[in-house]
Amino acid sequence: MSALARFRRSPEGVIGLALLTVLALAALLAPLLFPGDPLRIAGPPLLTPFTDPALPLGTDRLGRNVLAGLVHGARASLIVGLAAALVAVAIGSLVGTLAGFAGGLVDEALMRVVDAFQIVPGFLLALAFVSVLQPTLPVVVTAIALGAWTGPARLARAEVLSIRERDYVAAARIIGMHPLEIALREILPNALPPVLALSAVIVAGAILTEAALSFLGLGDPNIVTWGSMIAEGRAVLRSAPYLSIVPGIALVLTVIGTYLLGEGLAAMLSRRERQA
Amino acid sequence: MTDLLRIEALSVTYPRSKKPALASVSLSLAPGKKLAIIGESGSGKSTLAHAIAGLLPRGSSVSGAIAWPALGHPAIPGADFGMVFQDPGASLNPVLRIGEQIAEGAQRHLGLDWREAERRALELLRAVQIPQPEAALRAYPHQFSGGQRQRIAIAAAIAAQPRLLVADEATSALDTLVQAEIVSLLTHLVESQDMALLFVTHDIALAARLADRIAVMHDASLVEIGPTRAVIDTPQSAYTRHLLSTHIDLADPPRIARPAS
Amino acid sequence: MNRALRLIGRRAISSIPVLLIVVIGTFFLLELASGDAVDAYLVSIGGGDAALIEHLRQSYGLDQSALTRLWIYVSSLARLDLGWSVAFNRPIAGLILERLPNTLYLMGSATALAFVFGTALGILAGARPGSLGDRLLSIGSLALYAVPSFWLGLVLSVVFAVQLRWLPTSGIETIASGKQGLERALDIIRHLVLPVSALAMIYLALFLRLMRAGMAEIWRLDFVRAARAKGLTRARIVLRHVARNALLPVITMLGLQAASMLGGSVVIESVFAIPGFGRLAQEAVSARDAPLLMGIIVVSAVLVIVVNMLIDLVYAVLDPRVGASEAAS
Ligand SMILES: Nc1ncnc2c1ncn2[C@@H]1O[C@H](COP(=O)(O)OP(=O)(O)OP(=O)(O)O)[C@@H](O)[C@H]1O
Ligand SMILES: [Mg+2]
Repeated sequence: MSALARFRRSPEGVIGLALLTVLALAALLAPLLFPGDPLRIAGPPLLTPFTDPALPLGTDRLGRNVLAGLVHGARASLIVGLAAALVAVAIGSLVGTLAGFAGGLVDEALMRVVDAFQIVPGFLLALAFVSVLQPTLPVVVTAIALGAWTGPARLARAEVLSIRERDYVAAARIIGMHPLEIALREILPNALPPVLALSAVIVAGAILTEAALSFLGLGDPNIVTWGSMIAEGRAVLRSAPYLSIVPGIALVLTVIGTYLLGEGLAAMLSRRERQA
Repeated sequence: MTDLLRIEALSVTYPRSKKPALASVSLSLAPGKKLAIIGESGSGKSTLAHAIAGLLPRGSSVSGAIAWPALGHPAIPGADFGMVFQDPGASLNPVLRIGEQIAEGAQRHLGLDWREAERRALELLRAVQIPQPEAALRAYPHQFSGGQRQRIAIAAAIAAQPRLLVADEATSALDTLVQAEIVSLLTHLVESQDMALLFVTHDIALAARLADRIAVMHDASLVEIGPTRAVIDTPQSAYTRHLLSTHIDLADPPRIARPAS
Repeated sequence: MNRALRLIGRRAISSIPVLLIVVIGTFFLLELASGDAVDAYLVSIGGGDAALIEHLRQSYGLDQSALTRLWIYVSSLARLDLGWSVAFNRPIAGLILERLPNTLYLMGSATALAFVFGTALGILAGARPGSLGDRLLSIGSLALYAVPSFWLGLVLSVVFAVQLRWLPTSGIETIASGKQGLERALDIIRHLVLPVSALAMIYLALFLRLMRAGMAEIWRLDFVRAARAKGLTRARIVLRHVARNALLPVITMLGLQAASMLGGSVVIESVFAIPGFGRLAQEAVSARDAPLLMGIIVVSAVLVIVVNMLIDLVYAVLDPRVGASEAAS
């Protein structure tokens, strides 16, 4: 059975993929579906959903198109989620591989740094980081990655330690490969599958952290995000609760989709490993 | 004498598997007797033991009959039979005290309260020759050696005085010296307490020394069953002969030649 | 017990360099800020002349080099002095101590709720892997695990506070109610129901899933088969043998999640206007009060270390194997 067929046999993976495909399409096509700035005023304020076909989900307090915001918000969520996870996994894998391979004092020092990052609440760190610099997209991405790279680092290190003593590494050493070269060419690719399985959780966490940051007003003020839409809706929570509820549902579906896709990928990878 | 256990045409197929792991196996075991099941890896020995103990995974398809004529009712796990597993490191719960793990079977089946069950556990620890049994009651599995853990597992299995002890390769994971001690302990226990023993092993020499009767399994089927001496001296099936010849080449022949009588 | 104490001692000692890394790292992170607390203060009072600025900078030590200030910070930290908050114009340590209890109530109750219900439901799901109940709980917990706590907080308050009017929408207690003793405690509890539930749900789902997955693994182990062969009651097998072992990774996770929970309470405190530690962090951010933010980060790191020590203790009580190898050597 091919990897693809294995993936297709896991209902979680298929549902997750479907959810995320819809989202990704919405994110990609946002400029075509809703051209122009989603933050501009599009109609009367607080238009009830399903009353105007041109504004199917109504408008917010300032008369901005809710559906346009939702679709453009998908971009922010997916971009920040993926980018932050990518940065976190890249840094984590690198540090973990280095620590596991170098051993000794280097390992000890790097792991203490990992410990330090783990005892500081990631969200507090992100808060501090964004407030110190400016709340732009790259800063937000970095801020979130700062709180997420320790998991991949620990995992990569553990993988390296278990793989290190295996035959092909010994063989590479005999051929005279440089330790760093061994690390990059032999160990990293082998340690990657479980790190990738962890990635779904990190992407989901990053999406949630981004939403919380922009909910607190610490996101990039020039782009629409679901978190900022939820925060915006708070002012009229009593009269128009859907303004906060709808973007939250989009957020929940995205995160569920990510988890499900992750489970599908894990099923695919684990079965492949069992065969080997 | 009424048989303790009678198995008729027992077939077992594991869930998601097409080939049966046990194909129409019939055998019987009299009270107080020792039956060894031998056969190579994958022949279905453990499947047989698990079927008897009701431990097959859910969804397995089972046909045939397992009857307990001497009991007059379906066997109650723990009360009518006990079971010992291969890996003594894994068959004890790592986070519970030894005393509790031995006492729980006695408490459940002998109508004892926990205090009395604990006293029974102490007795059993003495019977399986654990040093300092009082202290051992309060200790945890990791504080014992492999051989000691297997003794403790045996004590837990026989806590409610079952009529049958099923031992699935109970000595395979132990080194030779310890193995011999466990075998003599098992022999002593079943003989002194009038228990029957079903002993699964792939070690023919061990089977020959220990058992009254030997059953030979091959590829999910029972190829031969009979008194130990008859199976060793005049094997009926070609497979048993093959098994014996390969074994005699490998292990010490004198014991095979003079099986326990 | 000796072995647990030794464990704690070792963790305390190994925490010191880690804490130092936190202090130094945070210090230099906050150095990156474009303005300092004096700038923010000046903006808030509508500006000031150069002499005033100079004076303020001097009185807060902001005119000295970064390394000097780091040294001063670390050495006063060693005397448990967290410095002075410009925004609140009072000692940071006192400020934090005043806000901390509210956050500890919030976190403590949320942890207890998540742990009790998470493990209980996890046992229910894991008792019969693959059953209908198991599958429903798995799906439900996955969905719950995806719900951001701040949004859940809003939804809960729309339903229970705005629509049904059962519970208050915000605050930690009714202001100037004059309530005392038990009455006051009940008032605080009523205020905490919604924020605690909002904060707890994601962890409840996490513990449920962890417990369930752990039990599924443990059902396969030999000692569970041995327990079944002993003819024990199903309840005893599930609770004493399977769940008892599956609890261990949940306890570990409890420690690992302490930091994330503290972070989560920042947002929840903002949603429900609870004057806690997390709210203070947000206030420090908007007032650009770097020493306060620094103090908050350091104290939360210490808090996480302490929680993990307690977790270590609990773990050592629950798992007799902890520290056994070192005792033998
Ligand atoms: N849980 C299971 N699910 C599916 N197939 C199984 C399961 N357990 C065992 N089998 C298969 O059933 C057959 C018989 O296995 P069994 O464990 O009874 O052999 P055995 O004689 O005890 O071997 P060994 O000496 O290695 O213990 C084997 O082909 C095995 O792969
Ligand atoms: Mg077997």
